[in-house]
Amino acid sequence: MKTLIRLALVGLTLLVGTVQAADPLVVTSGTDRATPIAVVPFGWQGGTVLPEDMADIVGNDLRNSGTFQPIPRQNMISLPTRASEIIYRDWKALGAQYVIVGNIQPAGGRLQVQFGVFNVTTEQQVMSGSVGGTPDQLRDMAHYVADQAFEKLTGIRGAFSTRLLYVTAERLGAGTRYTLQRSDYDGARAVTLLQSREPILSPRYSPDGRRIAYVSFEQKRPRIFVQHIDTGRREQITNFEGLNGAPAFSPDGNRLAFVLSKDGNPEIYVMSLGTRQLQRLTNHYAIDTEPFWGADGQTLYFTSDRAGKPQIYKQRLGGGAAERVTFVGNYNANPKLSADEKTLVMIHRQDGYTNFKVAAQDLQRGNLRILSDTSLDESPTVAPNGTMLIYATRQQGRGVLMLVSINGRVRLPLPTAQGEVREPSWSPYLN
Amino acid sequence: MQQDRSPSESYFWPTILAVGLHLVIFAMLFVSFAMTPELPPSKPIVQATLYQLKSQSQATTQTNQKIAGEAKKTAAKQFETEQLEQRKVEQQKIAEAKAAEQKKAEAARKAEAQKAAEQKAAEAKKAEEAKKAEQRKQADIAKKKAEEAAKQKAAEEAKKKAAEEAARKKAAEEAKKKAAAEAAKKKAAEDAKKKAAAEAARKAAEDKKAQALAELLSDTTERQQALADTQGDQVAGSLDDLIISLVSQQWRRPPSARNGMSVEVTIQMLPDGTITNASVTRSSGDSAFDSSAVAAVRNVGRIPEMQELDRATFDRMYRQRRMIFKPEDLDL
Repeated sequence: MKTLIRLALVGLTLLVGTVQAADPLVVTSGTDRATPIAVVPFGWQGGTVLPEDMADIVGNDLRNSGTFQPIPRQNMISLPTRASEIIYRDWKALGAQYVIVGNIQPAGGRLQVQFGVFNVTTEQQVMSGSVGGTPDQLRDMAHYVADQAFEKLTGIRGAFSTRLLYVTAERLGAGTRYTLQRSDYDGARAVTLLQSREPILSPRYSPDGRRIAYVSFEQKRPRIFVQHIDTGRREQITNFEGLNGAPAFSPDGNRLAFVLSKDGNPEIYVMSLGTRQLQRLTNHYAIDTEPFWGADGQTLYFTSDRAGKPQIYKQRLGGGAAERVTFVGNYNANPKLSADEKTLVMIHRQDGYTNFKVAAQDLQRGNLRILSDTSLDESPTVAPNGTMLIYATRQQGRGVLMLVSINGRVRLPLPTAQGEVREPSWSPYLN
Repeated sequence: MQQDRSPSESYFWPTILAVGLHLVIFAMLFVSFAMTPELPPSKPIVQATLYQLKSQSQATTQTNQKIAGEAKKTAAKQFETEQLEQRKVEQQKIAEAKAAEQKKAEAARKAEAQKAAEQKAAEAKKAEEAKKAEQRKQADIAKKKAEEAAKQKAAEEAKKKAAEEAARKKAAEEAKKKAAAEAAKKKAAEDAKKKAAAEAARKAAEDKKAQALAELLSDTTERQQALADTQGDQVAGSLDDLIISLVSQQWRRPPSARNGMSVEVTIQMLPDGTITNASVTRSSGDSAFDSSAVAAVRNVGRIPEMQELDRATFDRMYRQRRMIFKPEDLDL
């Protein structure tokens, strides 16, 4: 019996020992460097040269997210186009963590793309896929491949197939020509949606991505319009005295928030698009403008100078007082939220008079990070997956668009047409 | 005489089967091909046309309805009629105070057009401030100069820092190399040791068999065991640090990551240091954050230093180990 008890005791000690030994390892810091990735030029079995370089587009997409660093093509030792051709040793030598290969084949006037993603460390295939389309959809197919690879590698849905709205202004003799443009998120393939001799402002997508709202001065006064992208059909939404501005679709797409000054000074209103019923949100002698909807469809964030300087506030539609959200800096305006509502992006001025920068604020803790390295920044707009943002700024006296990754690693100007470019607005997911 | 079936008879069913299988595989080829996603055809886009109207909002609405080509809901109609009437009154008013109104509208439009990007009334304040700024030009220039100097200084400091970082990295790399060389040396020594140990272990095992249970539980054996454990733990402690540092170097946090979030990942390893599996055992609730931790472990791949460890300690501590990822270094 004694022996048995002793045995049990020893067993218990051993057990306790095991539990102690299995103390978890705690990792509290990470790296700020982007993951090196090799996007190998895709193979092409057709005769003529393709109009777009798919691998280049995929690499740029991944870079723009701020998460990956594509390895320059001239450093590549081999150019595999399928799994069996990958020599992992080569990619280890280059420091690549992942390799993406692809192959394009003609299929009766259409193109068929096979692609695969491989982990160099584990020497295993991470994913494979295929996509088909017409030759003028090469960019779409490239963005599709980038979306798939990005989601597989990061767990975040890719937003490279999304689109951008922006306004251009071009001097033409005595007047100015304003156009409303829609392009890929990276500025490529711009299409004109509207042209006018008078200013166009504040374009915004509806949540389903099929309609847009904007302010047009075509009647010499600011009025809000809604336009269907596919058909070009448009509808005038407001015709109130004074300022009609800053439209924003509600998350369900059925209501439009905007600013009216018909009662003396700018206040925020919400209109039901079905019944055209108008509801007033703010009532303050200060300026209230730039409404942005919270995901619940009941909260509106907006800019107000009720405390003397412009700051960001939020207020519920059902009533209740406005609650101040920003406290750092002497100017915070143009609020935009990330989809997870963790991060508030805005135009921020720490001090002084002209130093307007894009900044991100954590909504739970309140700490703030400056994202742009330019000044005179305006109109930030966040990608639906929250990894990138685009804003308007001035370079050499000209309005341009800049793309920044939310982690601040990537900052680059978007290629856009001549003239002034401003008022960018990111689409929701469109696929 | 059953064995003496004709060859054609004995191959009949296998042939049918083989042909059938080929057909099925051939058919599946088309199924998988058909499952390849096809991008929807790109839709043509129709550019909208501006209304050919100056200020007649009545006509605007009518044209609008024509373009829309659809009957409005009664409520909307009612609302619109009301609006139309209102607008008529407004227009009369406008006609009466036309000159003043036009002037006002023109001024407003000019101001708004110029500052097209902002369209905020707050902009007026900015302008005022800018004026003020000009008044304080002298002061500003001095300030700017100071800022520039500060910037330069910051840049220089950053450079210095980078240089320091590089030096540190180099040192670290050298240390690593040294460690690797040392490890190799140690390994050789240890191999010899291990052989001896194995021999000893074999002997001990034999001895053990011979010894009584009471003796196995005797104080001396226990103490020896404890001693061996602590030695193993010491090596293990430095391996803990090594694993943490290797994984940290691979850990790239998503934008949704925040200080204080936490995910538990359980890793599995082979005695040669190969990480065979990493899986989330307690989620942070944020899938991107969870994935980043799993990827960090996977991308370490293999930790050869694990071979330094004796088998018992390895089995006890590393064959399966929990890791907690809890960032403290993020700035948001």
